[in-house]
Amino acid sequence: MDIQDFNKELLDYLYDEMTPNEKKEFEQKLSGSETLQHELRELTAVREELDGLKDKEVMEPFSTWGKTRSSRWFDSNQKTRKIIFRPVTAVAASLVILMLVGYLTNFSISVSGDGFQAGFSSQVKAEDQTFLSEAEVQSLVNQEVQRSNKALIARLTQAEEGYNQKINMLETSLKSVENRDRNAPVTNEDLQKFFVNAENKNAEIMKEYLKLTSTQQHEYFRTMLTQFNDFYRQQREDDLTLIQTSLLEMQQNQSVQKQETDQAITSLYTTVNQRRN
Amino acid sequence: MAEVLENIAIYHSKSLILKSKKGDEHAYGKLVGLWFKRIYNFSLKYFADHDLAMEVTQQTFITVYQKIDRLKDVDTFKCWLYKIALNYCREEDRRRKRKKWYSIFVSEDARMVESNYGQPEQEYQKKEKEELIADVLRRLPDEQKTVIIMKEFEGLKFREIAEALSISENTAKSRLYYGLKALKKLLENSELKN
Repeated sequence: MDIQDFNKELLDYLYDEMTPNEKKEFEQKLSGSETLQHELRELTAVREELDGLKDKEVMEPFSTWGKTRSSRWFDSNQKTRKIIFRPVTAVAASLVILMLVGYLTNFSISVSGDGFQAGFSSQVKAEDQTFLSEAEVQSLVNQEVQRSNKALIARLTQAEEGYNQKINMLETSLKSVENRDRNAPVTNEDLQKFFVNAENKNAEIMKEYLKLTSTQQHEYFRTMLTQFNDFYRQQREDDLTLIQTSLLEMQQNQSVQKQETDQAITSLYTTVNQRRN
Repeated sequence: MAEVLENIAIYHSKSLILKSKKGDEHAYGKLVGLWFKRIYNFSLKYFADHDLAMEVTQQTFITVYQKIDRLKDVDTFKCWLYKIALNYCREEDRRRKRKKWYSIFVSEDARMVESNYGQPEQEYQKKEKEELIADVLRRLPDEQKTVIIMKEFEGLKFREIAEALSISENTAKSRLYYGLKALKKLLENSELKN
């Protein structure tokens, strides 16, 4: 893509890159050509539009050059003039941020004979904590199992007594039937009634037994789950309280820092204004 | 007045370049002070993004610092400087396109730094116009955009542009001509839309 010669001259004229003689010659051409005048007007108009885009003021970064300042960007003592600022500053900035966050949140890590501890807020002393040993936990579990077994045995014994009573009653009724058998003939109807009665009683006994055991187990598991749930809810609430306290503390620290920065900026602004005046 | 003084200083930076070539860091610091704004604005018009412009400007001056001792002809410093800046601009542009990351003309920080002196309406219109021009400039092909920025905003001679871009003067003129034409069309379309 190339342009005609008169357009090249036009650009030279537009940007004032002509010698006085060339300029005169071109102006003569220009006065005799409507096309050239039109082109010139168009290009001038575009340039005027572009004039609306002004330069932006910019501050040269503080840590740039010179004997006193270059050390942050360059290791000037080395012949290779190796660039060091980027990785070093990035690592340093990350470390500073981590340290600051750690300081603000009171983060601490410690390794002692009692084990490894990492967390916010102040360090918890090992003696303040009540830990259970494995044997103690086993003992507690055993106790609980024994207590549950005892209760179950007591209930079973009670149920057994009930069944015995019922069996006795059945035996008594059987004996009365036998006695009756001796005195008078037993009809089919009597026998049917007797077996229906026995079946009903057996079904009742089994039903009660199953009901009793299932209720026992259900209650036992419900108690266990409730205790477990309470424990975890408490633990969660404690954790949330701890996090909330830490965040509140961070927020307060940030507010103080912001106020200090604002004060410093206001002070600087005032000083600059006073000096200007 | 300040701009005129700045331009004079730029054109008299020869002694600073010579000292910098010998490793005088203080002189180099002054040289950066003279050219920082120009290279920043060149990059800003290229990207229409403050952060990218700052990044490119810093990279440019780091490279210049590392390689200034290899600069043979002091008079070619300006072309050499813009050539380095343009290379970084193109590199960043490619990287940015890969990341598909776009930004607005002036970052929020820069907006906040800018003063609100004067009439708010005028300020707003001025900003609108700046954003429009930056936007249409951004939409031009890279080769046309580069020549327009170098010629129109940086005031480089056609000879200097040709040298910086390693092209002939005629090609530079041709790119500028068609660039200005394309810019006119884009501006007209944008105004019609508005």
